Amino acid sequence: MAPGSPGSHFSSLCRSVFSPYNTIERLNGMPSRASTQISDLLVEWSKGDSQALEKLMPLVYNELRHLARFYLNHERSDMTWQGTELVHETYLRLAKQHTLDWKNKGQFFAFAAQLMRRLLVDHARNHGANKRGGSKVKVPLDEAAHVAESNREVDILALDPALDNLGSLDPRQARIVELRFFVGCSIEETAEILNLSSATVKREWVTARAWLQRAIRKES
Amino acid sequence: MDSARWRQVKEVLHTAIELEPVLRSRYLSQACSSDPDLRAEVESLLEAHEQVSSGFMETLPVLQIPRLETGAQLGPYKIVSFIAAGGMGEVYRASDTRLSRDVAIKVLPGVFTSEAERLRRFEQEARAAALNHPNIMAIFDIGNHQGSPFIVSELLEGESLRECLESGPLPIERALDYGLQLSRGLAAAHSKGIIHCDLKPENIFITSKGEAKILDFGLAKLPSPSPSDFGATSAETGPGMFAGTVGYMSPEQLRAQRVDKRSDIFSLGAILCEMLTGNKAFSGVSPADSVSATLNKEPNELARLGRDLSLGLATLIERCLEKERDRRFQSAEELTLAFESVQAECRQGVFLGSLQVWRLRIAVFAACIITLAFWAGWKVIRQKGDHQRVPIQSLVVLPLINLSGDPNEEYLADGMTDALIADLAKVGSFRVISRTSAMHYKDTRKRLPEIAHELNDVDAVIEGSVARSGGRIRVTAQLIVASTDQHLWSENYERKIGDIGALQAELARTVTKQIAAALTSQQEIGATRPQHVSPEFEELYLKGQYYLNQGTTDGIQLALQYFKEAIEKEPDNALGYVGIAQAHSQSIYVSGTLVRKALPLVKAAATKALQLDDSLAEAHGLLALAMAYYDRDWSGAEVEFQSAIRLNAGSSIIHLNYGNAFLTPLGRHKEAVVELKKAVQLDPLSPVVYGILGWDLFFARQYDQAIEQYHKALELDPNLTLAHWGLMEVYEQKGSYSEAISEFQQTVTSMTGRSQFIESIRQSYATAGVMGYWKRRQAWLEGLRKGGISVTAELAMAYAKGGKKDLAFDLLDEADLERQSRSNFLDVDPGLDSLRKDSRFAELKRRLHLPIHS
Repeated sequence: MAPGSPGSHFSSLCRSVFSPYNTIERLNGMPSRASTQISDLLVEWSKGDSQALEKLMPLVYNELRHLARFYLNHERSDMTWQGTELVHETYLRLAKQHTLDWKNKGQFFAFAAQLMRRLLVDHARNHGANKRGGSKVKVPLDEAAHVAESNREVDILALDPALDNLGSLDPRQARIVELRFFVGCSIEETAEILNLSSATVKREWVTARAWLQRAIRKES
Repeated sequence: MDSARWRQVKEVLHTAIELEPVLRSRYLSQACSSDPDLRAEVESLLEAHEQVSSGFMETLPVLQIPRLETGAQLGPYKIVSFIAAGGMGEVYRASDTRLSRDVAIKVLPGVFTSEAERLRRFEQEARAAALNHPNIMAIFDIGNHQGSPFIVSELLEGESLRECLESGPLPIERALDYGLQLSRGLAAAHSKGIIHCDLKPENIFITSKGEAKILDFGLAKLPSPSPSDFGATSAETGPGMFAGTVGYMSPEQLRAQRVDKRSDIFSLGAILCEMLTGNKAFSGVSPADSVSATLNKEPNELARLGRDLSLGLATLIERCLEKERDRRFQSAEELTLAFESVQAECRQGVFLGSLQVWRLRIAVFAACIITLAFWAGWKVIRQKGDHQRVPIQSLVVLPLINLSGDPNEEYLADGMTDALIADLAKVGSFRVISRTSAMHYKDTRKRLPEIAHELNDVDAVIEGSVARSGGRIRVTAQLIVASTDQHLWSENYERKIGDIGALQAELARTVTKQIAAALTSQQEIGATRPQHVSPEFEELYLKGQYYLNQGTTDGIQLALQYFKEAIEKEPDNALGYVGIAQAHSQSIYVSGTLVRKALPLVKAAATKALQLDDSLAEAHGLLALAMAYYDRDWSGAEVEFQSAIRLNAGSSIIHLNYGNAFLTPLGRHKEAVVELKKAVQLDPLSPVVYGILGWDLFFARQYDQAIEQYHKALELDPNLTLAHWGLMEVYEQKGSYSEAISEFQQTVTSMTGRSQFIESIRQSYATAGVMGYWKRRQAWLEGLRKGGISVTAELAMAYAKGGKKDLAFDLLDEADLERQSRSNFLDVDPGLDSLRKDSRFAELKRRLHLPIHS
């Protein structure tokens, strides 16, 4: 399987040694108030409180940004993230700090997948707005174009409403797509998270892709 | 569709997907037998599924999370918004609170500050880009924010050249404009010793005001601060990566050889090519293909485009993209000059063909040929003759092969070939085919008998090779009887590089002995060459000759530089001055330098050369030319021409000039034709030589013979303006106006590639007769003159034909002052016959110091 394709990051779920995370912990010392709040909300959300999700979003997003900046300053050269890494790191960070009693790790991922989707849509919207914006102010940078290109593979802004439509026909399929596409979970991981068989996930994924492909093509 | 229906569709769809494609149709007929809508739905999704297999949603989307929030403060700079990110950092729009202007800030991630190399590169970018030049992005400041270094630069509005090119190729004028700007920017960087190393459309920004700016000096090579950096190879980007970008990197960069400013010139050439074609100059399916194309192939599509480009522009691109850097423009200044001259052509409206422009110049200067013999055509004259002719009366030196494996050494092999031809020609007891015709056989695969046949059945062939290793040079040569392939002689020589002169002399002497020519003491080869030539001089001189032979404006400029350097090394060596004189004389034809300006320089250099060594035939020939055409010192010129021929009877150029520039203007037509025929013998593949012979016959009023020679010239080069123009004038003299009109058409087409004027002159002739014809002909010449092309005397002739004598005389006065070459033929020009009885004509002749007879 090619790097970057769904499923290839499964091993990162199992990473036991994660040095930047340890560094963060050392730096931060005690858990921040924000992260305590997040873990509380997560527990509530996992218990079925849908309002918790709305409160969680901005908090986790900030957390992600915090994390991303930390890596930018200490480990990575670029600021581009695939959902897989970011969600896994966030999960590890939150889980480890609070020793949460997660009945189902999958619940976090299902949540994070929605979060990633929202972030990416916002990002695409802003990016597109920048590009088409009247002022057209821009300083091109060596590989900036490459970043844009890899997102070009799928037009996120076209995918988003298509995925909403699919979700209204079959919510489970939409969640499978979110996990596979936005977080990069493999068939097996997705099956585990959603408590389904691998065969089912595979079948739903294949038909969902065909449906989405057609919907996006119609759109364009 | 509702959920239930989707479930139904999904099931049929999934089953169909699982089936072999051939079985699907049958399955669908069964499964949807009562529901055609279902079948249509599934089939449409199946089609989408087929497309999905090409990778839809295979690659995960990525998210950019900029580190700095809006409002963040970096010293005096306040972040306004995030703009973009790349390998070397993130870029933000910020406002400079002190100057209340917006700037761009590029922040290097803190993690890199611990990596010395990345940091060094970042700072170097700042340092390199700190060049103050409108075509380089301006850097205002450099700072550090919580351990992350940042660069503050001007905020540019516009788009990258890459984005510009997404909508296809640029118009020629725009491409030229950007090319010129970039060349200026490069010149500024190079003048500080900075080499960009990674020029590509992504690194070039086109502002909304149309300025082209060079960005990203992140890979730039700076002047070495310490001796240990000397000889450093190209900068490193990362493990297993090239510095630079495949497709724009020069061959030497790809080979990880040392880069220099000429490497940037290559990249700029590739970019220019892409701007004009819309496609990458060196592309391939894989990077490996691009690498291979860069190393071995001509740029994609340039050939196809060549037709639409002026020669000036096509040559400019080709010179940028030469695989060997020695053959490229040697500096960005030089490239800038070339851009400017191509642009000037463009503005003058003669853009469609500077190829045609130089042909035109030749036509205009038809009667004043200095060193034109190397403008050979590409076709081969086919003549029949007997094969056996011993003893040897003629030979050709085929271009010696460069065996060093380094194309940069080509000049050495070519230089040796030239020198051998020149030295052997001086012997005088046999005919030596001139350089132009011989050079046709560079890299040829033709067999010797075929070559010999094409060269009017030359008797013998010399072929060989040159290799240099370190300070030593090794030459092999063999003499072969062309008709029988019999080897008469072969020899190897190895010498120090500084002995090239002596080596050439020895070679020539041995070859000469072998063909049993008696060497008189006067003809002793090599006696005239300085005995102790320094290797530096030798190399500079050969390089000068090499560039001179390219026959381009830039070639001449470079040649002049090399000759000047050679003179600095050895001020007492006459050859350096001969080179200067040759270069100035060529610039008349190649670059359109005015005769009035060029010839005094020719004269000065030739005179100096002769003070140092009066045995140099070329110097006598060039001095003679300047005396005839500039000083109108005809008797002095004759003495010099005769010295030149005595010293070297085998030079086609000297015969040509003696005939055309001296004998014909004085009305000594018989002698002139003899000299021109000698030139043809020595240079049988040069269309120009036939064309000049045609003109001399025209001035001798032997019109039918002139026509014959023009046709020979056109057989070798169907577009030779010189010959079409000549034919036009011949037919005008013969009164055959319909044929003249047809040649007029050919002339115009060969000059501009277009056939405007034609209908108007045809109509004008049809309605107003001969006067109508000349009216149009005058208008056309006036147009050329406005375009900066020197046709003063030709215009005078056209007015004389049209009966406007006063105007004609005024123009002839002017032509004389310009020293325009056609004016030298005043006394013999059939077109001026209507003026001869006028007293002003005698006055003109007096001014030209022409003998007053009849």
